[in-house]
Amino acid sequence: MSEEFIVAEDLDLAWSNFDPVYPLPAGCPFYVEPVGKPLNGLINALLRTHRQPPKYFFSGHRGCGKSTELNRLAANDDIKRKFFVVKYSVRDVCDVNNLNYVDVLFSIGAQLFLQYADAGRELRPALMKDLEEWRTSIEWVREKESSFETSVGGGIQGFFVSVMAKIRAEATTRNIIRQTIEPRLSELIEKINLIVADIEGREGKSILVIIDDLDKPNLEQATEIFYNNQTAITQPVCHIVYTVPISMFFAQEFIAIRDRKFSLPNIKLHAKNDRTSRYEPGYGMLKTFIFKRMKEDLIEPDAVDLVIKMGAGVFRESARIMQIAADSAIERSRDCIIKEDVERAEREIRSDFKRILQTEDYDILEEVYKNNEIRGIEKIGHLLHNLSVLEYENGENWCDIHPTLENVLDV
Amino acid sequence: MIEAKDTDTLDTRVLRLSNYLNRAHRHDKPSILFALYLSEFLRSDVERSLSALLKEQGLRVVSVDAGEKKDLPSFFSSIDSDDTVFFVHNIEKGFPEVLQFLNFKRENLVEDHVKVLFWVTEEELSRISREAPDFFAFRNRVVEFMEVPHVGETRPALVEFALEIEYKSLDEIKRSIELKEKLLAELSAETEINGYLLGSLGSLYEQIGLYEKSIDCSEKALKIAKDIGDRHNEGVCLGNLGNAYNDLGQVEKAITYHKNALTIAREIGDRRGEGADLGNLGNAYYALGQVEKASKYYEDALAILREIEDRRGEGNALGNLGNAYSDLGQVERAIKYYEDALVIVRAIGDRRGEGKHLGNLGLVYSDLGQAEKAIEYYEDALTIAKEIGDLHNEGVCLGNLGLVYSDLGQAEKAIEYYEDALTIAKEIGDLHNEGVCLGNLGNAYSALGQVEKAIEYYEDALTIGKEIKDPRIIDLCEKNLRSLKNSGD
Repeated sequence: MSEEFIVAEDLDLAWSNFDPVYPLPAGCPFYVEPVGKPLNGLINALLRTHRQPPKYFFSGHRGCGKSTELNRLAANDDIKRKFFVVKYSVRDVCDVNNLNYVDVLFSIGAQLFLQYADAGRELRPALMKDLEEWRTSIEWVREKESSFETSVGGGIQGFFVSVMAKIRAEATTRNIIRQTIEPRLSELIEKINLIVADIEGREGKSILVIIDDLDKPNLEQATEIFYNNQTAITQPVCHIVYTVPISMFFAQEFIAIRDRKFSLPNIKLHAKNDRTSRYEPGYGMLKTFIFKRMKEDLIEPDAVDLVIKMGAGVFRESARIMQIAADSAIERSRDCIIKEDVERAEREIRSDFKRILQTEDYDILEEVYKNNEIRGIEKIGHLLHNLSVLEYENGENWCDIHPTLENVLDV
Repeated sequence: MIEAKDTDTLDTRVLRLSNYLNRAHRHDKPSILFALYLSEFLRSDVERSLSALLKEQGLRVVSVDAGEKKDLPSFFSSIDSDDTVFFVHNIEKGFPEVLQFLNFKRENLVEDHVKVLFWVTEEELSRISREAPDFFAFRNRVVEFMEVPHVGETRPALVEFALEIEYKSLDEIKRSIELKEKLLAELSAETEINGYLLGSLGSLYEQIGLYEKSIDCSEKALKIAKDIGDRHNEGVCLGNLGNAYNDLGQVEKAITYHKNALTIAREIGDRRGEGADLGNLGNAYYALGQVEKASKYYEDALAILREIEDRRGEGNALGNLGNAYSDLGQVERAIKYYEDALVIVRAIGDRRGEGKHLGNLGLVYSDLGQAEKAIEYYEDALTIAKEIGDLHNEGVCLGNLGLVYSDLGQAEKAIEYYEDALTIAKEIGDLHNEGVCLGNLGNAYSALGQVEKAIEYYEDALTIGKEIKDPRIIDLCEKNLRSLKNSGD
């Protein structure tokens, strides 16, 4: 990954700077704070004093900058002053394709333990002994059913590492581990809480666990984890930020957690039911997004406007359009992106949509196009997911179809 | 609304992919690209040009079959390096697992800066975007190659491809057959190219032992060649028919075809064809047991092939002379020919040929009673067959190893080899070898005194022999069955 963040003076570097798949590290000069500073709401909520350490559910539409914002959250000075931060991606420690709440809880315990050890710190000896005994009881049960070798060192550290590896990679062992731990879940939670208490006591800080990529499982698995086992996953006595699939926020079952949800909105570019209007703060922000990455004279003004419009207020989509447009300009030996290049990108993205959308989807798109309303989330969930419908919020939530699709509809 | 089509030329689009990958390489960026295609032929053409361009830029292309490597992200990680570009084929064969792996491990591709191009049809891409949406959200570009090949522009390449019949491995032959069958459907209006395609299918099917199919294609191709007055292809088709009938044991019929082919080759001055036809006639007389006549034909063929510097043909002719002299009992001469043939096939990198000649050397040493040396050659041949995925020759080697062990009196061990050979023959649908293996199993059980089992095998072999009308198998089985049943009475 490019570690240098230089404002591009030619299209070749601009192409590279608009890599659409790269979440920005905290402090990156390319970063643009979304209008309304949505992350501040979450930071403030975490900094407030709570009777019970709260659990927050963080989400946002695909490509709107979730991972970038979580990187910033973990690096925020106020957060670091108050918390010992344990941030990890569930994808690095579990099989996201087959995930249940036991895996999630176990990963919290394991990551607390391992990241604390990685920071060169030690838990109190009595707790280590306690964990060791617990491990022996688990491993004894485990080995009765399957004899797998523990190759990663010994002791409790090796235990966490090897169990995590097996949860991640081996289907049969994963089930055995789940079956072993599940009936004794209260023990696991108790151990997690003992680790939390010990670290908090030693560091004089609270603990904040941030788990990224929990928005990847499908809705069914997410429901199983966050709804059916909500009690279990809210039991650890530390602050936790869970990422969740955006569709969870729309489902009836999740009304209960709605006051604990934070979502990263898409950037509004026009007013509801008025496609001809321009919401200037949105345009201004995306111009900043573009010109932090390349010099202004590399693109003509009417091309910039079209990029922003077709990017629909989604960062990744805007970057993708810029990258395709840069590619197109380079291919035609231009040193400046013109509107025609952006129109090519628009066509390419429209073709991608046309391949995804099914006949019945067009009726829904047409309805959304006409009244900008979300009517029946069960019908448009998948369209929100593939970005053919985009949600915006300003006081009330409303939605619109992806701008590249406007000329596909019979309107 | 009608979308303005991408009007860029094919070359521009190939260059677009190549430049994209090259730029990604320079900036050390991941690239997830899709090439959308309609026509298999166009795809293979585009792929060839793109590969050449990438190689010029110092990039290494690694092709992956998604049907075999379903966990693509892990595969990429395992062999990725800065200058590697992956081409992913057959993604449909890996559905649905391949989609799940891509969707949930998409970050691995980004973290490892993987550069990958997926060759997909419209339907495949549609499923990827719907069923692996998180992965699809990471795509960089989709480049379309949706035209049906304009025969006008691509004719020379098409003809060259249609005529290609020399392949190194069985997999390649099968891929080529698949592609040619698809092209046949695509280009149904192109009579001349259809003729070439059918002609080469005739040869390819013959090479993998599907003789009926081979004959069917060759006859269709022959009709086209006659209709359009293509004497050259007429000769080729006659030759292919001859080969197929020879394989089926209908040798007289084969000889007629080859003689007609030879007449045409001489008439139109096609020296290459003449060499091939002479060699094929040699094969036919050899099959009839007229070995001296066969070797005369082989010598004539060898002279021509040397003259036109057809190294592959020369290797074949030398090998065949080896066979002939081995049968005539001139073993040393045979060995010399095989060794000469071996030098040539090694020089031209023909692993398939190398395996064949090694196998034949095994046979000679086996005839000389030097079982250990024979086993050594067979094992070498077997290794090559496995390496290049030549199941046919693998089966033959296994069968021959069985014969050696049978000669050494180790009937049980022989049976093991025969059974392995039988499995392969069944797998590839090689009825001839299946019949031979069954017959050999009959021999082995007969040697062990297990008469009932032996009869069973002979009867199975006989059924197949009759099915493929192979007189040798039929003769052997009927003779043995008669004697076993008589001795039982």
